[in-house]
Amino acid sequence: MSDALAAILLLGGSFFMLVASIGLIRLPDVYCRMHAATKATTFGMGGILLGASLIFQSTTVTTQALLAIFFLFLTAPVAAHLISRAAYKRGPDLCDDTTHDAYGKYLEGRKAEEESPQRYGDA
Amino acid sequence: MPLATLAFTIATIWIFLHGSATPGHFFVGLIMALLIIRFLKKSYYQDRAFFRIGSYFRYLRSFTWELLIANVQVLKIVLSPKLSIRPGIIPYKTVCKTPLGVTMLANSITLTPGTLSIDVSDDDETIFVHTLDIDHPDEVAEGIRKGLEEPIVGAVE
Repeated sequence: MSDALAAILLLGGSFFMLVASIGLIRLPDVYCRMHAATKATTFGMGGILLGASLIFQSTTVTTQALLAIFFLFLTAPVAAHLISRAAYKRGPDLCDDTTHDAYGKYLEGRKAEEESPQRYGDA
Repeated sequence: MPLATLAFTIATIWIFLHGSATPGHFFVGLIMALLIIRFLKKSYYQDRAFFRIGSYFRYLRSFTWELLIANVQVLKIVLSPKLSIRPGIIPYKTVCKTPLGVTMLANSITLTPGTLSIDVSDDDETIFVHTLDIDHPDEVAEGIRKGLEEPIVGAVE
């Protein structure tokens, strides 16, 4: 029974990793690709680790797996956040289908503010 | 958690990692805990409210649910024969005030349906969210507010 469950978790986890990889290739720009790279990999990795801990059935392995999952969920979004932010500031444009860009407006507004501080300071 | 409880928790985790519960191992774990706390104390956000443990579980439950939806959604988008996405960046006004709250919210946004936090404005009030498929910006914001922000506010604010 637990073997079957472990198999399901391992297969499911690997499947989501595969989805993440396909997503990396198919999606149009950096930001969309980060979607696939963060969501599907954390989920897939979680499945694989849980499956592994079910197979080994030892406290040590289970604790390690749970800690690994915890830190994965803690670090993956931070990495995605920094990569997409750096990407936005350094170059790659948003893909052509993009409909909204509030961040660009915000950055422009801040730049204008930095260039002419007296305009806001004298009031 | 108070620092003493934190130290004992870390020591317990150390025991589980070792798989043998002897006083010696617990002692080693305690020393490790003290070392970790010694170096990371400055960046540790101390919350003495134990009674909030229920809200933490509510947050975990709602987060897990959103995570499941997120993955099914990515799956559908990635494996559909024709890519039909309308990506874009929208601002999201948050009511979280503490750094911990904003951090948790931004991280959770990244891990849940169709959204990815790109930057937080200087005043910590607006999170810029990249969205894979926008029908209507307000709907996306509403989803974040209901599914993530409210449980987080309950848990850490």
